[in-house]
Amino acid sequence: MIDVKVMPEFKLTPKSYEGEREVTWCPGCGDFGILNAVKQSLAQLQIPPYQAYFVSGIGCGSKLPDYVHSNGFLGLHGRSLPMAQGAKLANHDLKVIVTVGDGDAYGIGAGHFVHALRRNSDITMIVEDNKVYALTKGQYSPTSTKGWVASTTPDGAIEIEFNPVVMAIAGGATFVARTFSGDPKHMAATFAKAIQHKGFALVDVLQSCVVYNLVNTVEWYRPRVYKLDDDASYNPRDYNTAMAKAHEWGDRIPIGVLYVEEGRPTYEDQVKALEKGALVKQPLGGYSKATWDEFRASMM
Amino acid sequence: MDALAPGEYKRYAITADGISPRARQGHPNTVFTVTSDEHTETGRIEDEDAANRIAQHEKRMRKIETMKPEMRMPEWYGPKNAPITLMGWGATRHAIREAVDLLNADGVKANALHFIDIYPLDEARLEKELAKAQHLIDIEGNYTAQLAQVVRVYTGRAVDDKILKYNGRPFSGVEIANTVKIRMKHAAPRVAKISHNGHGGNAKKTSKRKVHA
Ligand SMILES: Cc1ncc(C[n+]2csc(CCOP(=O)(O)OP(=O)(O)O)c2C)c(N)n1
Repeated sequence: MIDVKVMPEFKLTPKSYEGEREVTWCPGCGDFGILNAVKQSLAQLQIPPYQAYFVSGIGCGSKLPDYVHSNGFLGLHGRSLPMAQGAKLANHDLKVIVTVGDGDAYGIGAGHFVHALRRNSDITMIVEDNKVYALTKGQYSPTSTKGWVASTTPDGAIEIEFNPVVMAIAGGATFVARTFSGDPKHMAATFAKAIQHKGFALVDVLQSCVVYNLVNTVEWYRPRVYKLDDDASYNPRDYNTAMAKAHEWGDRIPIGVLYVEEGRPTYEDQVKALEKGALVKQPLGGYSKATWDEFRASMM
Repeated sequence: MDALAPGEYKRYAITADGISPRARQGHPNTVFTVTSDEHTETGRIEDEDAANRIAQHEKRMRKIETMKPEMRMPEWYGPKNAPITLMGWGATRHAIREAVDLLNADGVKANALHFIDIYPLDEARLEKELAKAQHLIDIEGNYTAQLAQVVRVYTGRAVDDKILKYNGRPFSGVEIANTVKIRMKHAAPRVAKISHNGHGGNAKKTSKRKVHA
């Protein structure tokens, strides 16, 4: 653990979020860029480390909170969203940021994902989408291309690929974006927008995996991606426009904010118990130990 | 946390009783991670260092010992020193109590021993409670007599009889009382123990042997 380096008059820089641990990702992994961009975005928004809260599951990408100087909960594979939404309910003064792989987010965690979309908790979900299960050595994931050959799909994946951004817009997310691990500036700017958004924000990051995905590499993505942010005529507030864009894939892949809906109340906005402030700062209901014991006994 | 200097707090501090003081995240005096992977005292992933793993694992296991004295022993119901004890856990509690009342009203002296907490199981204290039971009948709503198995594994005490129900319906008090009466009619009386040297002798009331094999 490192001492809190932040003082109110002190300007936060990406270094303020630097963890003390040795990073164990493979040299060249797209996760390095994502980690740096996350720190950049926190610095841009001047969020002190103690006010951020990282939640992840299990996977290469899920190790990210271990490398950040901030709070974190590295839980179970696929269960980051329940943890994150719970953390936000317990202390909505925190900026809750989920950092998980595509397997974690859209595979085992798919059930949680669809409900988080419609719940609109004020949290940010960053998915390190390398289209494989990297930590467990390259099995196909929900976002792997149909026909993907890996250890568990020797004859090629039979399922068509899951489109997270289409799913997110359809499911009710109020902020849906895509970015690319080969573009640090775009990543940092997109993360900052997502963190600032009030409501559930998904950022799907096209991430290179230099060991298990030798198809969707930085070189493969670079000529294909184009920035919606550069197109003044693109209106992310229009549902149908966004839906059409979200389906675009192949020779041209849009990155940037695909869809945004402002003004929808968040989940936390609508929970009565939170009106008096963050739960964690409220007294414990004013019940005495005797009352609790009596309650407990009545359950027996 | 307010009393701590920044950076002093360790979420997984190695302690004698196995309990590391818990602070809430979000306090300005510190930041820390918690993790499901094996971790250092400060909550960072550390699964390569075997010494760290041993220290953390032993700390967690010490917590079990710390808990043991706090566990609730099974509760007794009915007259003391009854020759029949009905043993149960969970939702059978009231049916078993009703059966005890019915049996005693009919002149069959019985009591009940009902389990509330199971794990961590305090073997030493539990053995003392079980020693008070004579003919111990296990009443359970499952096929394999789960509680009787746990009791035997941890204390060596085998039950003398089992009434198991697994048709998906709950026990009633009348049903248990009637079954106990039938079983006791057919149960061999507590036989005299014939020792190998030819000397007879009554089995101790707290004998752990099955008496009606
Ligand atoms: C409940 C459970 N199921 C399966 C696993 C094994 N497992 C660990 S990581 C992983 C998938 C990793 O892929 P992803 O989430 O995309 O992250 P990446 O490693 O690619 O960053 C799996 C299946 C696990 N740890 N827990």
